[in-house]
Amino acid sequence: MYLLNYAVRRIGQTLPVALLVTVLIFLLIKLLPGDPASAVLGDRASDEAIRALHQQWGLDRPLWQQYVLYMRNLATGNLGQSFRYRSPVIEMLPRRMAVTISLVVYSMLLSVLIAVPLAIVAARNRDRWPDQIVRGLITLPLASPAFWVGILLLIVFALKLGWFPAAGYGEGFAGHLKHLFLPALTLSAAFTAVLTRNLRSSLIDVQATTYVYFARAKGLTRRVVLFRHIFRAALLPIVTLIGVRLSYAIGGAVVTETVFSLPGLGSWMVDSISARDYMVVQTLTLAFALGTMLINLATDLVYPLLDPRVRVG
Amino acid sequence: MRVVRVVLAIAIAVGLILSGLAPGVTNATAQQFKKVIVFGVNRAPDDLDPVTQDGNPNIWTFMQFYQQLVRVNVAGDGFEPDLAERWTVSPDGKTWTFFLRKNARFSNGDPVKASDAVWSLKRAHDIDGPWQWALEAVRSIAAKDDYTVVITLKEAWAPFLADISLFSNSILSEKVFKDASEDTISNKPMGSGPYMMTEWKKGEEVVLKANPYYYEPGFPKTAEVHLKYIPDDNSRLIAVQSGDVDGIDYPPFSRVAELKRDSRLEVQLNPSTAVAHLSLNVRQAPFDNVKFRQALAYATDRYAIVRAVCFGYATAATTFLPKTTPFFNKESKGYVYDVNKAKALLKESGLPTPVNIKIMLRSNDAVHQTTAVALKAMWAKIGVNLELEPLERATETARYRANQFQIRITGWTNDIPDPSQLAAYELGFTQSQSYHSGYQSKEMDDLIARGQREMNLDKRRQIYYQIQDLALRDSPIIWLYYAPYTIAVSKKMKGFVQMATGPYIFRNVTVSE
Repeated sequence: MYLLNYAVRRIGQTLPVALLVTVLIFLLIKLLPGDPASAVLGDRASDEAIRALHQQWGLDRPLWQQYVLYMRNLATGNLGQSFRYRSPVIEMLPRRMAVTISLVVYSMLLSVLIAVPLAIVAARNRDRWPDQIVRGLITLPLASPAFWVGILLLIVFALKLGWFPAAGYGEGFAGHLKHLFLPALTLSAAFTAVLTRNLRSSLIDVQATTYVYFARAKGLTRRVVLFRHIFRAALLPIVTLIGVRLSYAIGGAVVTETVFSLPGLGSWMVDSISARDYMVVQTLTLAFALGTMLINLATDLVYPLLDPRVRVG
Repeated sequence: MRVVRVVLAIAIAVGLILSGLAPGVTNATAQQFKKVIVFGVNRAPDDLDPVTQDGNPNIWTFMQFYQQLVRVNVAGDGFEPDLAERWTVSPDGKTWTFFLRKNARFSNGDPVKASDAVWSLKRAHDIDGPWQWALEAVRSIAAKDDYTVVITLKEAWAPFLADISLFSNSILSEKVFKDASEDTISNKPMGSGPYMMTEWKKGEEVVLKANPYYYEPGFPKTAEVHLKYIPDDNSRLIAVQSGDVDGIDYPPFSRVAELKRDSRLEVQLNPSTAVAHLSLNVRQAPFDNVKFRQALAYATDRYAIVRAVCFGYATAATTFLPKTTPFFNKESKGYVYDVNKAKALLKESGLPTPVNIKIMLRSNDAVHQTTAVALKAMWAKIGVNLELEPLERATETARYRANQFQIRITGWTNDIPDPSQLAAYELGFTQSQSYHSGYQSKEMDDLIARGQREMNLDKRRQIYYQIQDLALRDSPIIWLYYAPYTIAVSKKMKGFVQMATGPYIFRNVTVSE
């Protein structure tokens, strides 16, 4: 019950922050030079046509009135209209959101799937050659920018081997899995390295604790000790890391989505800023802010499940 | 360790298994030709109303399903019937009668009637859009019967056939769109062309299917076309090289040589109406000094820019007109790079050196950056110190519209096979303040007006030759080069055509398995 109270309280605390985010982003985008009407109508549009569009969109009203209208619409679930695409933002959001969430989750899964075995191998062979190889190898993705890793993966797996498509999101679940594999691998590259290093250190620390020696002395097999005693304790710092990283991954998705031409939130955000598509930028910023807050909350809530000694609140 | 091995095996297997899953839309069929063409485009359409839009991605997309009364031939130097199978003009040149073909139908099965043409052309005439000029000579548009459209002009108008062939004069269904909102016209277009749009995943893909009622029997040859948005140049190239898509637009010039070596691909350098140029703001000093403008024009080594920016795949510009446009003066030499002449002109201008000026460019545009850097080096030789001012696209556009610039890197793509549009837009003050350069010349305005009204072909040619000479003399704009459109398609693709004005024609395209 206390966990539920805690969650409700934390969500309540996020509301003022979300409100602040709406004010900030509303003001920031209006401060930028440039205008959505000229972006929509093009270089050759007349001044009269631009004025007419401003009037139609309500951009000729004072800023505070525009903000009040935006908040009133937001309260009723109306996210406004994309100026550029002449469509309600709410209609375009679900598909885009699905792409980015799938990409981020997929990349996390791949990171865990690759980092866990590597960290275990490294930790159990500390300072011997398998450890050296793992530590050496993971510095590569850590030192490589995502757009470069993405292009390399495209050249090898899409162009040379032809195993994966070069661009797009695909159709159907299997199609999405296939299309998102290379982007997810790109997005996961740097995090896999960080995760491997941290998990390795964490495992080494826990390995050296007295309760692990005791468990071994008790006659438990190495596997049981590893998964029941060492691994669970070593996971705690890793959960924090995953939480922080998830927020970063949303930002990292911008580059990855551009390289792989994925129609996600990141590439939409970049296009919308260039087109001064105010409503889309406002909605996406709010969504990113809320997403980050929810991830942080979820991270806090997972702690006590992993370690009963931890109490939130 | 066994668990570790299992997990590792899973990680590797996931990749391998996935690579065998989920065939895409280009999946082969048992037939000789593919049923679906997938074409990668570098920019996505965002609004498909032919009257209000001026972006190439929009125009090139809606031209797949909209038709006009007449269309430009592929060579770009004449006209052929489209919805009108023939037309006549009265001896005074003021009354044009178009006879519509009776077998043309919209993709919903309704016949294309004169009333549709009248409604569509009146809409294009009345809306304050970028293409209103194309019907400025029109006095009235009327339907004589179901299949005859009569257009009366205020005066004889030489480029009228070119103007009526413009995409903004597309024929829409009156029944479907008469009471429709602008959003509906933009989002749910429906025309009578070879294709119809069946799905539009905005910012991702446009799906076009053959219009079952299209009037030309046996066309289009392929049932479905997907225009897939792949903005990143590297990804678009890899997509066509790996066979993920059948063709792409705009492979960058820097990669053309590499693509030409790829035996699976055909690289097309299609003649275009594109002209790259620099707009000078002649409202302010030192650009109000014609000698200074001429000095800059002589100090610009266009061949070096063509090599640096276009890797030699473009031609140095000699006049303001694209080479593909009628009345282009082949004899014109333009400004031939001459540093000494430039220095002499700068001296004559009376300006103290060094002259400090600024060039506005788009910050993430490689062509703009290379051009600006090259100009800086060239102009330094005559004592002009060029400062580069990179700006983000929307900011740059705002500054341009407000005339707050000294030099702007920009360009033009002509939309009709006639010089009148470009002359009026780029050198006439009324439409655009001479492309925002602020250039205003009575002599030029008179020539432009005469060029629009002169019906004698030879006399008209002479007028446009004079306009080209005068534009060079006054140099409110420095014309740099004529660049071709670059396209890379699979060698299995046959029949792909790109108009000099830009749009692709998929009507004849087949892709063998």
